[in-house]
Amino acid sequence: MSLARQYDVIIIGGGATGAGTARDCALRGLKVLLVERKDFATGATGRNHGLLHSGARYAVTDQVSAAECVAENKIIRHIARHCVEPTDGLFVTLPEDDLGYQDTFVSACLSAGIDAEVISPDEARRIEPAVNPNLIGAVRVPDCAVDPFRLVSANLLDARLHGAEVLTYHEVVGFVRRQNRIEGVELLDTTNGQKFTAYAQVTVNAAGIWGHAVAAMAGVDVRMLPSKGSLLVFGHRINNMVINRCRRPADADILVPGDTICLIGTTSDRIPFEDIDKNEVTAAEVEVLLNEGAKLAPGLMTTRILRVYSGVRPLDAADDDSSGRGASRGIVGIDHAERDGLEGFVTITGGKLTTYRLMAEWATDVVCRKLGRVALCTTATVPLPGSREEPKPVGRAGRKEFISLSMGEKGAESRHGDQKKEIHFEGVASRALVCECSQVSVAEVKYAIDSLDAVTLVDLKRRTRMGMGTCQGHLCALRAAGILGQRIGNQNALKDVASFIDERWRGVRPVAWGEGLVEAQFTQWLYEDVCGLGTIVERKAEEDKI
Amino acid sequence: MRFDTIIIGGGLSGLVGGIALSLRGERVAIFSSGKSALHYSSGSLELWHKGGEEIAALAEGNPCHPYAKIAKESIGDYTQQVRDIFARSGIALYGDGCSNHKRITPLGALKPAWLTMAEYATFDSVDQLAGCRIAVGTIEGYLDFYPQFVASSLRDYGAECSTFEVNVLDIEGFRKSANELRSVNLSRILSGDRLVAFAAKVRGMIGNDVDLVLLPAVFGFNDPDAYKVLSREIGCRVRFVPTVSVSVPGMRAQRLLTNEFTRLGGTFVGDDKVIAATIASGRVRAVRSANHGDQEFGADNFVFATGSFFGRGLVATHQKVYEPVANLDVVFDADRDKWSAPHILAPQPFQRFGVATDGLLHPTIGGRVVENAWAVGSLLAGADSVSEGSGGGVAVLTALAVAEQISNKEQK
Repeated sequence: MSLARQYDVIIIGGGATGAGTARDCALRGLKVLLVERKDFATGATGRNHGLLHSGARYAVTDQVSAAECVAENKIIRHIARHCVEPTDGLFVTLPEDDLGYQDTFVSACLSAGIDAEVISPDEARRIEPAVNPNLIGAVRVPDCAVDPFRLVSANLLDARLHGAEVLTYHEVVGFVRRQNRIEGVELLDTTNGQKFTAYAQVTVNAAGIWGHAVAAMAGVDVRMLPSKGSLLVFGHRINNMVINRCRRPADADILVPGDTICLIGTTSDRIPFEDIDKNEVTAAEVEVLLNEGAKLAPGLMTTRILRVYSGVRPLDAADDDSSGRGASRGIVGIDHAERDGLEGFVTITGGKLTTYRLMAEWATDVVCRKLGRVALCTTATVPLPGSREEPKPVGRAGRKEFISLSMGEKGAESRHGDQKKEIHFEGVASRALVCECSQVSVAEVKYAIDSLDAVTLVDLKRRTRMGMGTCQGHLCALRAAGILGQRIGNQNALKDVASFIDERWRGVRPVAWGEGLVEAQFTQWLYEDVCGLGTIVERKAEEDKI
Repeated sequence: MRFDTIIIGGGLSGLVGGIALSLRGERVAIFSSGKSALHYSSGSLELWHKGGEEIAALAEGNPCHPYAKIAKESIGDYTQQVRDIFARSGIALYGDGCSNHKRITPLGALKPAWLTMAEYATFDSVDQLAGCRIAVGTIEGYLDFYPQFVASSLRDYGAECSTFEVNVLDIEGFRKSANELRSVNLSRILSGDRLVAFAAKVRGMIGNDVDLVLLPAVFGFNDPDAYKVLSREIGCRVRFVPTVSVSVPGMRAQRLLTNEFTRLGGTFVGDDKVIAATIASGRVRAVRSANHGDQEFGADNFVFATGSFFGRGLVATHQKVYEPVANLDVVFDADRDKWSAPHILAPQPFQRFGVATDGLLHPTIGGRVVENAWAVGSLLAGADSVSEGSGGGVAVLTALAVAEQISNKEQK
C-alpha cells in the first residue's frame, strides 16, 4: 500500500520536545505531522526524575540554563498546572560538605532570578521531616515535581485539537531528498510492517539521543554525547519536597517526590551509541544511588525499592568530558541549511524537560521563518488541556463535591485535570478500579485507549500510572487487558500482558530482594502457574509463524 | 505450654500435616501468620506436569529434590490420605491420583492437574472439548475474569463457545460501590435466595443448547455445594474457572481444613507469627511468637511449614537469603545476578532456593542436622513449583511423609 501525505512540517520524535513543537506549530496554524517510532515519552522524557527544575542546580555552573529553567518553571506551573506539583525544593549542606559553597550558590541563584531563601537547619527539619537531620545548612528554592507522561500527553492532545496528526509506532526509515533539500520522510508502521511516505517543506529532528542517527540518515552530522543516568524508585513517598545536595552537581544528589513514590538519581556515565536502547542499570549504580540517597534522607535505607530505570541524555558534545556531567545542558538548535547547506531540515536537541517548551518555541520560530509565515508563539500563556479551567475552590462546597467522588474519579481528576470531563463515568462498572495502587478506573482506561491512543498496556501505564505502584502491575495487567482486548483482539491482549509484566520485571530485577522478590515470586506464580500465560503466548507465537 | 508437635505455618502443608498427626492421636499446635498460598489457589493440586507415573524419574535425576526424599512406594498411600483428609474436611477432590487431568486457567489455557476441587471444570483429555457447547459467563463489572479469553482459547480445541455477562446490581446487597465487585464480596452476597435469583438470570440468558456453563470461582464463601445449586437451578452442568485475584474456594478450603484440624483436637493459633526458636544441644526446644511475648511453646517435634518468600518462610536481603525463625541453613546462589532470569515467565532460579535438608527432611543449622525438626512444603530447597508444576504435590507429600516419621517415632 502506498499513501502520499503532504504537510507543512513533520516532527520526528514523541518526547517532550517533539510534542511541544507539534503543539506550537499547530497553534501557529501549520499543518503538522508528528511521528514517533514507539509510544510517546519512551526516551529521556519518560526516564528522568520528573523534576521541574527551579534552575538552582545549574546556577553556579551555567547561568544561562539556570535563567531559562526558572522562567520556564513559572510558565509550566501555569500552563500545565494539572501535571505539576509545586513542592518546592531544599538544597542541603551536610557535615562533610563545605558550607561556604552555600553563599556562592545563593548569590548565583539570585543573579539568575531564582528565589533562593536560606533557612535554618531547624526550619528545614520542620518543613521536610525526611531530610538528613544532621544537615548544617539549607536553602529553599521553587523546584516542582512534574509528570512527564501527562505533560507530553496534554501537548499532543492540544496539537491534535489544532489539527495536527500524531502517529505513534511509526519509525522514520529514510528521507525523501532531492538535491540539497529534504522533502519528506519514509515511514514504517511497526504494528503492521506497512511503509509509506509523508512530505513536508520542513522536517524537524526532535528525536533526542536518537537524533544523531536521524541526522546521519539525512546526511548531516550532529555531535552528541550519550550520557546515561540511572534512578531508583522507592515504593513510598517519604519526602514532600525535592531534596538536593548543595554542592557541585554529582551522582545521586536529587530526591524527588512523585504521586505515591519518590525517586533518587541520577548517575551520569558516558555510554557508546550502540547501548542507547539497552537501559540497563548495574549493581554498582544501585549501590551508589542507595548510599548517596541515604545521605539526603536516611529513611531511604529502610524504604522498599520498587524498581530502577535509566535514560540517555541527548547532550551536546561540546567538550571531551568523559561522564557528561560537565557537558552543556543548553539548548541546541541547528538549521541545517545554514550549517550544512541542507534545506528543509532542522535539529532541536540538548536542553532539559523543564525547558521543553522553550526548545519547541525556538524550533517553531525556525520552521515559521523557513516557511515564510509570521505567527507569534502563544504557548507560554495558553494553558494546556487539563489546566484550562480554574482549579476548584477548596472551600466547603468544593470539598463536599470532591468527597462525593469515587476513588477512580478522584484519581482521574488528579491526573487529567479539567480533561476529566471527557472521561465517561456512567454507572458503577465504569467506576470499578483496574489499578488500586494508583486508583485507575475502567472509565479512565477506556479514555486512554479511545482518546489518548494507548494500544498496549505499557502505553496505558504512561497515560494513567496504572501498574506504577507497589504491586508493579500484577493485578491490574489482566484487568486492563480485558478492556484492551476489545480494541486489539483477545489473543493480542494476552500477549501484551506478557510484555507488560516483563517490562515491569526488567526494572525490578536489579533490585529483586526483600519485598520486590516476594512480589516477583507472586507474579510468576500467578501468571505462569495459575494462569498458564506462557502456554498461551507460545501458542500465539506458533500461530503467528503459520 | 507443651505439645507433641508444633507446626509453624498454617498453609496447605501445615494443615495437611497437622490433620494427619491429629488423626494418629498426636497433640499438635499450628501457628499461622494468616498468609497462605491457598488464598490464591488455582483450585488444583499439581504433582508434576508430566504426571504421577514418572515422578520416580524426576526424583532420580535430582537427589536434592523434595520428591527424592519421599519413599516411592508410599506415594500411592499418601495420595489416598490426601483425598481422605480433604474429604473428611468437606472438600471433594477430582482425579484418580495417578494420571493428570486438565484444568482450565483464567486465560483459557489447559494445564495438567493432579487433584482438583470438584467445583472446578476439568477434562480428562482435550478431546472432550470437541463439539462441546460451552457458555462462559461472568458478572458485569467484575474485572478479575474475562470470559472472552477462556472462550477464545477453548474454541481452538473445537468447543462451541458463547459468552455472557450478568448484571447483578439489582440483586439486593450490592451497594453502589464499584469496589464491592471483588470475588470475596460477590461470594458473600451471592448465596441463598440471591444465588437462586442469580441462577434464574443465567438461565434466561443462555438458552437450552448448552452442555456446560463456566463461571468465575466467586461462589460459595462458606458453601462447597454452590456449584450444585447453580447446576440445579440453571438446569445445566455448571463448573468454575479460577480467577486471578483472591480465590474463594481456596480460602474456603483453608477454613475447612482448619476446622477439621481443631475438631480433631488440634490447637490452631491464628494470626500469630513464630518469630524465634530456642535451640540447645542440636535440638529445637521451644518457639516464641509475636503475640505471646516471652512465653515459650515447647514440643518434642517441630515442623517448619513456613513457605517460600511469599509466605515469609524465606527472606532475601541484597546479600543473602535466610530462614528467619531458626536461621536454618538455606540453599541459594551467592551471586545475586544468578538469582533470577531476564523473563519473568521463564524458570526463575530463586524458586529453587530453600531450606537444606537431609534425606529425612531434617533441616540443618551450621551444617549440623536438627534431629527433632523437619521442613516441608515450599520452604524446601530443590523444587521449582512453577516450572515443574509441583507446588501442591511437594506441600502435601512432604507433610505426610514427615507426619509418618513423627508418629512412627512416637510409637517407639
